[in-house]
Amino acid sequence: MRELPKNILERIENYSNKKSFSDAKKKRLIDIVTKRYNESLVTPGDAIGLIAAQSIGEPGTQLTLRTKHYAGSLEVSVGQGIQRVIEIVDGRLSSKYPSMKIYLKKDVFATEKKLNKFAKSLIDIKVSTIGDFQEDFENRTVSFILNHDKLDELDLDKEETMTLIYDKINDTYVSKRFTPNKNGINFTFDKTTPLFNIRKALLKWNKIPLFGVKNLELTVITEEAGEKVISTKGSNLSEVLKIPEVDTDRTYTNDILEINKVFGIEAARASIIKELKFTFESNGIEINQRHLSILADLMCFNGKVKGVVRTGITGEKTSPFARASFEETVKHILSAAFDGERENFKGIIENLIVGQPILAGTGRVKLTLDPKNLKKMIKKQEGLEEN
Amino acid sequence: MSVKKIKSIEFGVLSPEVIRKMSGVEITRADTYDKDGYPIERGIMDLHLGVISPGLRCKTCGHGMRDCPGHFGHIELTRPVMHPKFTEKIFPLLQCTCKECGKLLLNNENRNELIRFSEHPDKIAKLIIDFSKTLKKCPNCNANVSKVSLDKPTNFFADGERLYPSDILDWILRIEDQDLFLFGYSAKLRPQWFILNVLPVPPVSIRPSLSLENVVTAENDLTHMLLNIVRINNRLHENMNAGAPQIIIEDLWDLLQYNVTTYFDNNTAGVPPAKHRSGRALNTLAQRLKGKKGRFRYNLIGKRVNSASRSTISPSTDIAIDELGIPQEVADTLTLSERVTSWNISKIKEYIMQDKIKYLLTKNNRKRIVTPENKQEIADALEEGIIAKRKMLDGDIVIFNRQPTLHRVSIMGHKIKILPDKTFRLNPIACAPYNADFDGDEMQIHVPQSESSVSEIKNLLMVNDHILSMRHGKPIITPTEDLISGGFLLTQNTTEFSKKEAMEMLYSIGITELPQADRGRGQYSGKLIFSQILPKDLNLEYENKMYTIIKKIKGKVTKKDIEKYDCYFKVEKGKLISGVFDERATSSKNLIDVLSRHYPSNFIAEFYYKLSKLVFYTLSKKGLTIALDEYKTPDNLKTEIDQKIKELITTTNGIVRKYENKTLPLISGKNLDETFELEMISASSQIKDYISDQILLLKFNEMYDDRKISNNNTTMLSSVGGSRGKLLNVVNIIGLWGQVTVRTGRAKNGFKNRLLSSNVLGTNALMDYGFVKNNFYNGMSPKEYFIHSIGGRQGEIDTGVSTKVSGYLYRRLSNALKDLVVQDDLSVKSADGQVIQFVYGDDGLSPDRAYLGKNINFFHE
Repeated sequence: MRELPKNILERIENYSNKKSFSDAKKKRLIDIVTKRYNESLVTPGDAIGLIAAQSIGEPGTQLTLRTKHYAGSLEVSVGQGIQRVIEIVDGRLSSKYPSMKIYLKKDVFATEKKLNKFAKSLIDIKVSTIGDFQEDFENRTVSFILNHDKLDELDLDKEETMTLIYDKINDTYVSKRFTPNKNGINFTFDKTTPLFNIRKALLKWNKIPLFGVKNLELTVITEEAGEKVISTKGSNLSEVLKIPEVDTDRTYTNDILEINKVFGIEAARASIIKELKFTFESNGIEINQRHLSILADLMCFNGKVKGVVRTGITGEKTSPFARASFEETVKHILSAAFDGERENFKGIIENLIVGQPILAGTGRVKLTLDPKNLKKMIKKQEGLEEN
Repeated sequence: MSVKKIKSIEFGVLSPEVIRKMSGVEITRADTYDKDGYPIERGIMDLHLGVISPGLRCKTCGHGMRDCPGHFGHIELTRPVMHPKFTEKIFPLLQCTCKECGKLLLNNENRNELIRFSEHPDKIAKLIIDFSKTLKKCPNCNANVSKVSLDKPTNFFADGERLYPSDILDWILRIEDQDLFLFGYSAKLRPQWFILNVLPVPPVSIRPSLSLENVVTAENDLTHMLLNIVRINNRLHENMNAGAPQIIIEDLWDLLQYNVTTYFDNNTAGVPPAKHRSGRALNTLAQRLKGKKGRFRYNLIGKRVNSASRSTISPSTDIAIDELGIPQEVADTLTLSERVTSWNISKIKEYIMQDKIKYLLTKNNRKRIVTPENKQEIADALEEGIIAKRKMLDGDIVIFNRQPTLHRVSIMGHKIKILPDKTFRLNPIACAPYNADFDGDEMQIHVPQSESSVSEIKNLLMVNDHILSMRHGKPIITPTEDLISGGFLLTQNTTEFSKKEAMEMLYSIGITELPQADRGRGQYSGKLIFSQILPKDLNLEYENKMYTIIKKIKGKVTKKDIEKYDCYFKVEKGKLISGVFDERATSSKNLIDVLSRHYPSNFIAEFYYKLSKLVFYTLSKKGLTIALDEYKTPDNLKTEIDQKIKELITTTNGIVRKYENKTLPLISGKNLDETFELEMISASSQIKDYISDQILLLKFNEMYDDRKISNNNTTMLSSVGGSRGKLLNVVNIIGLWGQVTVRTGRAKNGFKNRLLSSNVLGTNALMDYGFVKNNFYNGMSPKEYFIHSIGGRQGEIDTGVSTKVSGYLYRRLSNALKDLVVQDDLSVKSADGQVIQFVYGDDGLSPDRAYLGKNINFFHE
């Protein structure tokens, strides 16, 4: 019998104090709870890994297919269905639809207008976002033409922007720069500059960051339990956390690899569970936390996020049979031969392959009945009874 | 008989010496059989390699076809060829060493630095290549360093000149052992083994000839490949002996290399696959192992079994959920072993006399078939220790299974019951875990063949023990469809039975004492009858589905409402006081959950059995039919719908106009097109919501016209009870369908600027993009029907794709997670002994037994 966990005992204590139970009654309550607790424990030998895989895999067909939703005021970032589950489980290097939820410190923005401005200031603005370059190859000049609509949309000050662009674009080939006018800036290149270099320079200029946080493509203000929250398309946790107005305790990204980078493996494990749970729940599928936690623990247990792919968890198993029976059979057999690997038959699939009992469930029990001893015992028992 | 256990298997590469040592014969003739079909000596089917035809004896071991395991032979290759799968392991050796002296291309300084990495053979090669990049001369012998390249899969070049396998062999032999060690080689693994001088020939038993009535018709693909190799090897040998020009010899050498390459893997990149005469690509060694139909996945992980049977399933409510009706033919064909002991000897004698025993296995393992003629004699001679092969009887345990076997409750134990007709009979309540229906589904049974397996099934696999799902801890084996609507009818306040009916019902569930009549004129209420199958100590209350509906209509539910609509399920001491049996009984914390969690495991099975009896009696007495009249749209509703649609068209026209003028106010974070789509969808869904509210009100009032639930609206009845159909389905039939959605939004343009060619070019109106204003009762217009079908088709495609995608996800998950097992101390370890969790799920509870799935080590709000 396992003893009750501390907090359950505490709760029983509190409850019996409240109801002013006698000691005997309290003891009886503890006995009942202990019995039920022990009945509810998982059975040693249970292949709970496989049960977790089944519990996550079986409802897979009920998940929706290919629905991408983004932060918007109508639907606030809905879970995405099976593609999202696969993405999390794969442990891919980057999320396809990264998104952040930026919580703000209390009362940093007095008015909605200021908040709006702040939200817009986070958007990653590059030179190419707010204007286009026009090349004149014959004269080797390039003019930058500002997109006024875009500027208005993003609430940017024209003059400030232009000076910033003017300062940031400074290439060795450029012989003359004209101070910004209303519509743009003109650049003149040396007459001898190869055309290829001009085009190369332009491509480089287009990517020059001007304002905002890198990778945040869009920010939208949403409401969550009466609080204003900034939802984003694109994610950059480490940079956003540096902003003083941001509440660093609650700000969240759905990009697990980024969480791993910023906060470490424990946070990554927690976010794998959280994201999987969110995706399944928004599709109306219930999965016990235990299944998700065993998967997350397996993905994270040696310090880095490993995916459930042929190069990840399965590919790193020590048993050549376990690897060969999954994918890339020939490759694994050859590498086992080259490295002189040994198959020790410790896992499930290896024993299945050679037709031996598996080391789980009833196959794991090594106790057997010795008929000779049994006879002795029976005799002993009978003797005792007679006496 | 003692069972030996394989403790470990070591992988390695065969050395030429070992290949020759284990060979039974050297193969020199490119031939199979002679005219009489006798294997040709030293040919590819030599008798030293084992026998595959009856009557012959193996020349290596002397056994016949049954006992000879087959033996290897070998081919001595005239010229060495590269092992195609290990050229990439040879390549770094050539890149890192000097062609002339075989020393590493390193000066002393670098060599010392290298020693730090001596445990990582992969890194070493990279480092040496980096170090030696700038070297022009060998630091050791001052010879010119040649640049080696590999033309995959097998051809090496040094400074653009071809390196033949014999050159490479010479080169490699020059490399010193201490240097080889750095690359992962040892005494057990020499690089020269990857250059083949001798090729093992697999035993004939793994490549049997296909013969029909002793006439050999086809050879195995491997045999074809080996024939080619021997033929070319011989030709090369002859040409070399005859002193043929170098170019011919090199051609033949390349051909030999090609055949060896394809013999290992006929799918090697850059090499055309070897073809059969018929043009089919040959299945060679790699192909035999690889993929879904390969040895690993097809034969080793999945194995074919005996003692199984497959048939169509059909429903039967007369058997319990843990029973399974099987046809007499199946029961008579499949057998169970029963060892004769002093306890069962008389029973087995009886079986023999009743022709229930097919045959006996005597103590010296001889088979004695029981026939009507000899059964008396056999029965008399029966003694302990004999094993009787018995036909299946009622009450025997079998495993029942349906594919796809996605979770563990797709395989469960059932007690068999022999029934007439030829299908497997399954209680429909037990369909859900198998995901089975009766539209032609087939399922398997497997008969356990040992006492231990029977015991395992009885203790772990029976249906009764799997009412609660391991996935979420809620009941999955629950009443559905007719049982719900029947139970709903049975427990209505208005349902009453006469004394005769009550007696019939109670007798059918095994109750022989009639309770006190609780209604006037000696009538028995349905609630009273239902209470008889509840445990006497049960106290339970929860909200019925009707409760939620009333809440939706009226905003809140008063005590008066509860009384009027009978929508609060309440059981006190095993007596149903108020409320009805409906779909809510199957939710967590409610009736079924409590019964399966807190009572012994066979209680729930009995409960289901009794419930079916009561319910089907009720249904057959009271009846449950649907009339077309229920789906007629009332005139006032019709005008209201028409009015609303008119309004909708005006509002959406306004949105369209704004969209076309680009004056539509944008939703933050969306562009104009997205905003327009959202506005259009929300406008039409608002209308549908409004109309469905109206229909709910209308139907609700219709149902409760005179305080009792009326029987004349069965559609709503089954919807309110939760047995089948939702309000949405009713709305689609009598209201309107609304906007067709394809995946997430409205259908996208199929033509330039229009959805269909019947649309006017460039219009964006509501009706052009699949708003269906008709309903199923009236039928759709052709255009509506067409667009509606677009949505239907998309759904069909999505299910097809998602089964594939999720199937692969499941395969990957199960392969990664299958080794995780709970240890005695409740920790979770992998096969390699790594601890994954110190306590399973952080609290050690089993998911199906944890209350509401919550973790007890942490506090939940």
